[in-house]
Amino acid sequence: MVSGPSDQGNGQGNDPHAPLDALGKRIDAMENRPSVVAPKVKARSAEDSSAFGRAFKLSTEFVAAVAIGGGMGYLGDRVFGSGPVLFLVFFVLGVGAGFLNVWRAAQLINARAAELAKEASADQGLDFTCDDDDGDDDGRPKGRAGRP
Amino acid sequence: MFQQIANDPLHQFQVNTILPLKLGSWDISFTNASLWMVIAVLGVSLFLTLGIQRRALVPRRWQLMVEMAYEFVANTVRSNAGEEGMRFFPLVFTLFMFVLFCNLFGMIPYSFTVTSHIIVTFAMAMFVFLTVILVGLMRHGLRFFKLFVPSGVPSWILPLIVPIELISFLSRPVSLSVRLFANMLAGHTMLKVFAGFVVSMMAAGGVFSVMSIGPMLGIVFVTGLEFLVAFLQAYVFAVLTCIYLNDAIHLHEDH
Repeated sequence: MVSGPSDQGNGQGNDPHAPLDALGKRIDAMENRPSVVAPKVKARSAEDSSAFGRAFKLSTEFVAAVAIGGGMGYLGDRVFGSGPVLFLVFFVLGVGAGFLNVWRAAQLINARAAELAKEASADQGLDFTCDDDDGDDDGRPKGRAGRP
Repeated sequence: MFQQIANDPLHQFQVNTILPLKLGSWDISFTNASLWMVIAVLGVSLFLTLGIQRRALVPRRWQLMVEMAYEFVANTVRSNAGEEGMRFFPLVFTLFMFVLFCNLFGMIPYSFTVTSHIIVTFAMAMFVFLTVILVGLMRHGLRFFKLFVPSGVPSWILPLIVPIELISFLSRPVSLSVRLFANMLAGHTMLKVFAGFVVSMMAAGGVFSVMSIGPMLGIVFVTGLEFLVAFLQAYVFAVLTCIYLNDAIHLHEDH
């Protein structure tokens, strides 16, 4: 990727570390500023997790399963001419699947919230925090925290 | 056009034909929805290709944005679908960027929000759904259907659990598409309804025109919220795609 000899315009390319050194100096300068970053990050992550929870409309999870269940039963009744029997059975199964969906979504939201809380507490140890909204949680053991 | 949007909060979702086209008896006209999809694809392509042109070791802002987008999706895929899931990184990244750009372009006034149409989101959700089934069948053959049979469940309860798991599985494309579509539809409608309040309260005059500052502030707040929703929904779509792919790749192995 970084094969170009003159990445940052230092034509000779005599020192490949020059751009990194310059960045290091800028970071040092930033760190010496009297601004406080860490508390803001913590507040933001709490906000993030609630927003993530809101992004999942749990009602959608539920209704989708009920609709699919009811639809399956209805189609089955049409095919077998079995009156409302299959519709009723699959409607109830759909409700069960709806609860399952809601439970799984809730687990996912909880896992995400725990992840963010961990990140926030890890961030507090640092005196300078990058705005890593990408959840760049390399320190996490095996990941897959979000798996329901 | 401007008049209609002010009067009717749902006018913004109307699909208009720009270039009528027919394939046999199929209507494949180029519409404003098609136009904004093309714009989104062009936007993503330009954002990515122009952003990494300098390929600097220490990135500038634009390159940093591109790298963050890449890293963000890559981390999402790795943590939800494992290292093997990275094979599907191009799929997830494409979906994420497309949804994100459609949502964000939809925030431009008088533009068209492609993702507020359920047929678009459902097409993407079905694509993910069928990919999961295909990948699962290719990797595990018929063992893929063990997905519906949770391990460690007493056998007498299976006749109840398997249909429930099956319905839950089949409802995935529905909830995946409805979530995105409903969020975009509701948010954009709310914006226009508030805007309509401002206009009619101003027209009423007197005390009302002073009070119209309320819905005006509401619009400012909701606009900010909508930008958050635009990102969040693209992220949720990507995360769920990864989780579903993880099911297809790993079955029950790592519970």
